[in-house]
Amino acid sequence: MTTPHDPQSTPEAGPGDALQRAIDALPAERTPPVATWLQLQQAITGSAPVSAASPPLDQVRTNRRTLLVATLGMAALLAVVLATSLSRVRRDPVNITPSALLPEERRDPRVQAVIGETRNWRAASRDSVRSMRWPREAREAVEASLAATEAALASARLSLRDDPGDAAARDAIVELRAKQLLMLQRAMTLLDEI
Amino acid sequence: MTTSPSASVSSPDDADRERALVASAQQGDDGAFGALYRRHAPRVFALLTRLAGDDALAADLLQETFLQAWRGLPHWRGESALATWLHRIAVNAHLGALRAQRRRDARESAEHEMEKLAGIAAPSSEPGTRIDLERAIAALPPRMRTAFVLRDVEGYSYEEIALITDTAAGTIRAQVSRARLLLSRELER
Repeated sequence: MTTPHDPQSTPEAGPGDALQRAIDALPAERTPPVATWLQLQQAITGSAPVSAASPPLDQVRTNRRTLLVATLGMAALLAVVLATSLSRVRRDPVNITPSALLPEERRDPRVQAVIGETRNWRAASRDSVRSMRWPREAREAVEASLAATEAALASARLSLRDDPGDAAARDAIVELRAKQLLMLQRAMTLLDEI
Repeated sequence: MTTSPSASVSSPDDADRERALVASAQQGDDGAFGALYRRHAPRVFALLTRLAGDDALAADLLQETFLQAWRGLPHWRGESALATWLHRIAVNAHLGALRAQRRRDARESAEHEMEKLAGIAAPSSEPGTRIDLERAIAALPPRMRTAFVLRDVEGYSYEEIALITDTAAGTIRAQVSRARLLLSRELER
């Protein structure tokens, strides 16, 4: 999202006297609900009895984590299988770079969306706080899927360069990109919700 | 109210006591962690309430923040004040919730945000009552609220906010500017 900078607002301008006084009057502290600590305590000690109606937070997280790893693992596995089945004869890892994009791919907004989402994934993976609780297995599954997809894409591109009329290779590129985008979006949504 | 997050520790004795609590908590002492929670939770909760604009969500994020802190504490090397570290985890927890919400609710649009802005400008249901700045902040659209709270309440620089929210600094400036304008109008009512 880009919003044009308002030239009348500079960092030095500040919020204005009245608003600043109101901000200064805001309380620096608020007492959190007692239940928050009780639930947190359950989560960190695991000492409280397990109730079917209200399972401890940690147990809920463990279940979601297991489900997440399984879901992502399955999605990544499917992506790898798809990539393998669609890959052509030649495989050259050297070509797995953005520079290997075909001219028509460069103009395709769907490809730009995939590239953007891949960039988001890399940035999120490098953000130590955001990715602190991401299961290692899920992250590795996503990375493996990305690598397999890129290898298959590179192979399909080579085929298209040799034979621009290769409809199967062209379809494979479109399908691989769509799967890659879906997998990345799903992975980040699930990981952020842990 | 642009105070440093480290203000929770007010004296050298207090700092020593906190270091001791951190060391015990790092060894798995949940009692020490409870003491740290009691020290820092009120300030973190105030921050999260303003960022989230919703008490229930803020309570969930507070839990999330301290759960992450509990898990990360054994690896924490104390390079910054504990309050600063907790502050950063809390802000990231809020941003994570915002991202998840945006993904879930793809329908959120500029129009929707404009509706919320219109809601702020609408006359109070109780004419003549004193401005409730907290409530007005809570009514700001999420990203604008985040930018305003981090800049004008918490004292972050535009560049820091741009970095942690992964948003252009110019966008942050514009959001803060708009938030100031809307809130100032409310104050003048």
